[in-house]
Amino acid sequence: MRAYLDLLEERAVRSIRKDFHHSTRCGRVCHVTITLNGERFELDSPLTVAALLTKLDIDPRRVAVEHNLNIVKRQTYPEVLIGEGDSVEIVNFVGGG
Amino acid sequence: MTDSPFVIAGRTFKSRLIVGTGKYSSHAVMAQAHAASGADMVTVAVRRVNISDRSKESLLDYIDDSIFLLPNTAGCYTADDAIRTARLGREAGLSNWVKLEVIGDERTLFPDNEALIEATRVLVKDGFIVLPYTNDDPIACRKLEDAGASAVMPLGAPIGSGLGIQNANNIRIIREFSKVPMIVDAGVGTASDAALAMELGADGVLMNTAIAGAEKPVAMAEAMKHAVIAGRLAYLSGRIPRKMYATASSPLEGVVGT
Repeated sequence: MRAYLDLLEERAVRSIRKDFHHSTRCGRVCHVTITLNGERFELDSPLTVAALLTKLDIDPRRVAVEHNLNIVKRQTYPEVLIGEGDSVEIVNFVGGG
Repeated sequence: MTDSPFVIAGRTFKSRLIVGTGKYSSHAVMAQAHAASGADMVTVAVRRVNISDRSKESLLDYIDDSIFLLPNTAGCYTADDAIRTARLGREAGLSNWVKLEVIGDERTLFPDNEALIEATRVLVKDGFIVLPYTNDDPIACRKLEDAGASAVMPLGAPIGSGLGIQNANNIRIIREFSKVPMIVDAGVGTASDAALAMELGADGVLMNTAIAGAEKPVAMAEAMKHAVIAGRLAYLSGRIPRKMYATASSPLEGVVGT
């Protein structure tokens, strides 16, 4: 029982910390919402494709990126800016026949 | 016997067997099967990166650098989606080759030939080397070739069915009709199916499930390697005509007791 209460408390603290972290990091300045691989995704500010890939821990050599239905050429990753309402697809190779 | 090299769009391949990368129990088994098959071209699919789980190993770490990657457009049901996927595949793989699939029906995975021909036309204009997966229909294959396809890839049977060559005569006719290489793609179940495809005149065979789904994929990959080589050699050797009755192999004269 004691251990269970500790667990609950720990979860609550973690949740508050997460909210705090979220509000300070994002809060009023979090105003960039994009669609990333079909899902809603929040950014602190507009990012370049290169910065987004770094943020997501994705090796740019292994993927292709589409920005608002246009293929983004690899050499332009540091220049192409992703902003509010943009749609981004990041794909890679998987097993297939 | 020396064979002419297997050339598609000016690129020479050592093996006439092309294999997939899907459905393996692990990447390691796949790599062993690839090595056993002797294939120097493998197909891969183009899919969204899993954003929330980046832990998965990359498929490409398990594909030998000497193997040529052929991205497919599997899962696309319209010409537009297939074109979009092909362009993404080109950017990810840095080659302009595509195994073009435009599927027309979920249960059979039969191609939508009309959309396939349209997508071929668009992609060829865009500089792609297009290898379309198509029905075993000589007229569709002719239209694909006219649209600029660098090979035609008729199915032997539905994808993953393992039924073997269902319409051997059509495969033979397609070979006769086509100036580009003909690769039998899909439907192979076992080694004799692959050998038959080659005996019918196929320039190559493409398969995934027959190897990946076998109980022993690495051994089956080796069997397929031999089957493709044997079938090709048999095709080039000029088989005997089929006859209704026996013709003795041993001399008719000098039989003991006559």
